Amino acid sequence: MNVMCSTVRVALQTVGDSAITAPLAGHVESCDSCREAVGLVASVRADLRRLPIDEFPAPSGFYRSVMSSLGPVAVPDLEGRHSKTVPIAVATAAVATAAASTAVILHLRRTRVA
Amino acid sequence: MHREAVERLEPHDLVDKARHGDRDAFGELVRIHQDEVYTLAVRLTRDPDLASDVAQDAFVRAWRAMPKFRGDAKFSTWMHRITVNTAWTHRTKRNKVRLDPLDDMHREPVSTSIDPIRAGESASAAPVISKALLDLSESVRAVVVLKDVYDWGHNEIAEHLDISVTAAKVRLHRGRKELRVRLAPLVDGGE
Repeated sequence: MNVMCSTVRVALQTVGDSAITAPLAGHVESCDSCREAVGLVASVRADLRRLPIDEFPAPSGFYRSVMSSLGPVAVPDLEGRHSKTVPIAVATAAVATAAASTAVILHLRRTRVA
Repeated sequence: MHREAVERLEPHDLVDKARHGDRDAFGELVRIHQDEVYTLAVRLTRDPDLASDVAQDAFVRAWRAMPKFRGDAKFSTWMHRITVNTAWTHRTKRNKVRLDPLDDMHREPVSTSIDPIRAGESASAAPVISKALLDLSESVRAVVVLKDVYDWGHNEIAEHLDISVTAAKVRLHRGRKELRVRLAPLVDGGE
């Protein structure tokens, strides 16, 4: 193994087969050992790239589980302000409290007038 | 919105409606991407039960962050990033519970319980490659998966895995070297 072979090995180890450009590519063409090493790296990468991205199907019931976990509706803020999640129960409670307070105040005023 | 209606929408319309809080539209996105997200989670965790938790958690996080999704990347790419972050969060929590130092180089793979049913163009090679990938140690496998399967850049990998770029490259080299050893019989035609 000569200096060029060592350089090819280091390039394969640190970057991969994409690092085999000229003049390394010229050496690889003429060196059986380096050509085999580069070919092996390239084939492994190609095989990995071909693995299907949906290789493993989601388990049964997954969709239902996700949808039941989503929680409160996120209130979108598309103008750049912070978006807030507004729990509907909290909002309803706030409205009910305000309505009840108003009713109490009005009742007290009528009582005072009377 | 009824399911039949959302099924007819284009992906970018689904994303737009989901950003506005349309749960049915987001549900359709879940249906479309659930296998993809689960597959990435499996490849990162090597544990089907943990992968299910990670994938579910990732979709929940995505739902909460939908209003902030600007659409400058594909929805699937965005989901991949969330899934990786979620998997690493689960990993960090799990490691805190461990009494012994993490030594996943010697951990027995659980990939026998994961059955890849879809093959790529090479019907005989894909399952072998998939298994070899799953048999890598966790930290090395994450880098190889993100770089060589999902084509992430080194900087992006380092950022999401909270490691240096140098560490990412070292692990990538180690993972590829190990894969070459495991897959050499396949490349040689089984000789």
